[in-house]
Amino acid sequence: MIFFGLACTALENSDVRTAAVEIKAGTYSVGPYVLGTRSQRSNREITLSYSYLIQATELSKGDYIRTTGGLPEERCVRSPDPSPLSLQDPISCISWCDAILLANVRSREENLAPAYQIPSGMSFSMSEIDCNENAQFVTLDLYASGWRLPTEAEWDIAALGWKKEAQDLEKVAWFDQNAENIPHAVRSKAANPQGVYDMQGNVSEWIWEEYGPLIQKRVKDPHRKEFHLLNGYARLIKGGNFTSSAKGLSLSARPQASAGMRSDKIGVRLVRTIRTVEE
Amino acid sequence: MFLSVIQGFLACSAQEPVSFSIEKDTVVVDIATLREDASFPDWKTVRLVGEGSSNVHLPTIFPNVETLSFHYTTGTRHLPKALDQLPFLSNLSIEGTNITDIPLSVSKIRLKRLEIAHNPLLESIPPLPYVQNELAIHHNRSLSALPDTLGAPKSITKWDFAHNNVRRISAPIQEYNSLRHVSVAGNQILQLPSEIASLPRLESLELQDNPLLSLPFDEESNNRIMQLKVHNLPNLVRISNWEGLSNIRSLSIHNCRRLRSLPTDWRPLKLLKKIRITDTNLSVLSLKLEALRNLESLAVRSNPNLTELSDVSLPDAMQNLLLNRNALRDIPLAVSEHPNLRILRMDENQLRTLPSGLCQNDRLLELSLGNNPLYDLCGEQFQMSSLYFLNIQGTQLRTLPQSLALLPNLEILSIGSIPFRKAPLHLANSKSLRVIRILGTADEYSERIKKDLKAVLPPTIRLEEI
Repeated sequence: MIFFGLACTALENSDVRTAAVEIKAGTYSVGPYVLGTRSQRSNREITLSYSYLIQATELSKGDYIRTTGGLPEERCVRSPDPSPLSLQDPISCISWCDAILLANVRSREENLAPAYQIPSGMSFSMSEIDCNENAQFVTLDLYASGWRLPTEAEWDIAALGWKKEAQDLEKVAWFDQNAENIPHAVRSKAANPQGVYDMQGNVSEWIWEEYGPLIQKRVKDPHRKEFHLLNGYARLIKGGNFTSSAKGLSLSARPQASAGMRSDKIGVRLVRTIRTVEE
Repeated sequence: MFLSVIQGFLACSAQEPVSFSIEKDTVVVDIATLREDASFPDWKTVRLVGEGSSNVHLPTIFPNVETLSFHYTTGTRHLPKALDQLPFLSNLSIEGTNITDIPLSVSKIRLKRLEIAHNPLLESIPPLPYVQNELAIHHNRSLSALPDTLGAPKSITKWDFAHNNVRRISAPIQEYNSLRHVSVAGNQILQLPSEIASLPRLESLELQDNPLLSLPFDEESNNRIMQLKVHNLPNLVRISNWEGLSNIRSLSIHNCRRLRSLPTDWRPLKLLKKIRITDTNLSVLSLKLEALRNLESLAVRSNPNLTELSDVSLPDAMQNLLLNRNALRDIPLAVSEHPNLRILRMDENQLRTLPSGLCQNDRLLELSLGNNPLYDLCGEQFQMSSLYFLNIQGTQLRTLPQSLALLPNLEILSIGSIPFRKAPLHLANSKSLRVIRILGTADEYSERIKKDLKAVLPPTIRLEEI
């Protein structure tokens, strides 16, 4: 884009990227999770060999349009009453595939190494079933510098390892008690102590991995590099949304949705690896 | 181009400035900063952006504009006046506003293309008799009715009415005989008139995501449709015949949860290359397909009540057969002994044994049988000499045949968590294996199997936890 700024003011570059918060490499105690197939609840000790940036807010509609040129075009499961369009609201109605594609597009725009290898047949606004069929062929390079979806461990750490779960939900979250059945502008509630907004409520957020039993209590850089043929196409969505009850905002909840699903209750927040300890 | 920019500067230099930028041949203007005395006389492509609004007289500011778009100007609740006085306007896009209606003046404009999209509060649109080529009215959630006139009947080629809240199309469809592409996906339409399937130039019809009770095709249908998606039609119970679809190459039926009957005569679809049938209520499916000589791929998946494939006859051209997640109890002979099949996926069915013909199949490259109550792999007769990938995770096999280690091309073996009596140590003798995939469970029994295997596997075979 070219800008002119003599007598007339050039149109400001409104592409103000969502601010991001750095989470340092280190060992974090996160939980309690239900571990394995037993109902035993215990914390996990997660060691990250790298630091990462996590977007301070959920991606807004305005951010999404600036990257892709428009709102998603495919079928979306919606609440019945339409609300006015606001570009400050979190983007929703995007599938896991859209989110993956978006991350790579943004990485290229910023000259970062894309984190995903994406099958050639994947494109924005592909149908639910086409996304489901392609999702298992996406692979991740966790240590690439580009934007990507958070792993479950990264998301959980950014949510403060749940130690502060007892925080005042009214102050930090849009949920069924205050949202009036619609999403609200990102950054319109208080941030958590790490400076991250809307980790609970507003829209649920796509996670890279599918639901699976958590087995090991001590893990290093936990992530799935690739999906094997038979792991299906369900993916985790975390944090609850504007229709969730207080219980539904629990950070330990691990709901999932099919990768191709589009819902006005599911959005995205991106992360990226910034440095490893070895560096 | 530069000169025109200067003119824009001069026109507004005395007061609050107009904010704009240039992207290739487009001037992008913040709508909130538009003023009556601004002027962009040479610009033919104008995009208005920003979250403000304006009610300026656009013909004064953009007298020569040909392509005008309102691009997510969410502050816009009413369109600026005098749009019909832009003498050269031929493309108009109204996308991402909060308008509730389109003014009557828009219906007077002779446009090549009109797009009205993502306006969640839009409730009414006037007749549009002068749109010549393309009319796109989509993603307007409050729009429950389309106008009676949907472009110039003799010339319009594309209708995109997807994802509104429309219940029917009342325009006389048969008059629009230049139409090539029609989408009514994602509305509330119960019945589509059969005339739509007889538009002689029609190449695509998107009808998914509607409460349709039936499809509009019959033996009178005459069209050029090459791809048909029967997706997300919750009220569709039956498709009675495949007439009127003689040109289609790809048929996809997905998420029609009440659909329990498909035609048994597939011959009208003689050019078909690809069939996909997923998430239906079918219990029996006739696959007498030998007349479809071009058919390459058949996917029948996630039909939880499908227990039987009847009259199975497959054309020789077929290479991929995906039958996962049904309730099938048998593998038909026409499948197990097919001469050219390369990929067969039958995970998550009710298979207990395999037909001997399958175990001798020397063409198959990929065989996936995961999560079946399978307790036998043809004894020691498992001799699939071309097999590259075998998945048997989640079965009831207690041992693996010795012959598995002798398969000359088997590289990936997924054994998951099958309940072995003891670790299949003979796999270490395989000359071809590269990867053995095993489920990463934490119980002692699985740990022991893994440990025993690791101890004997040569470095060329990797044990991979999934």
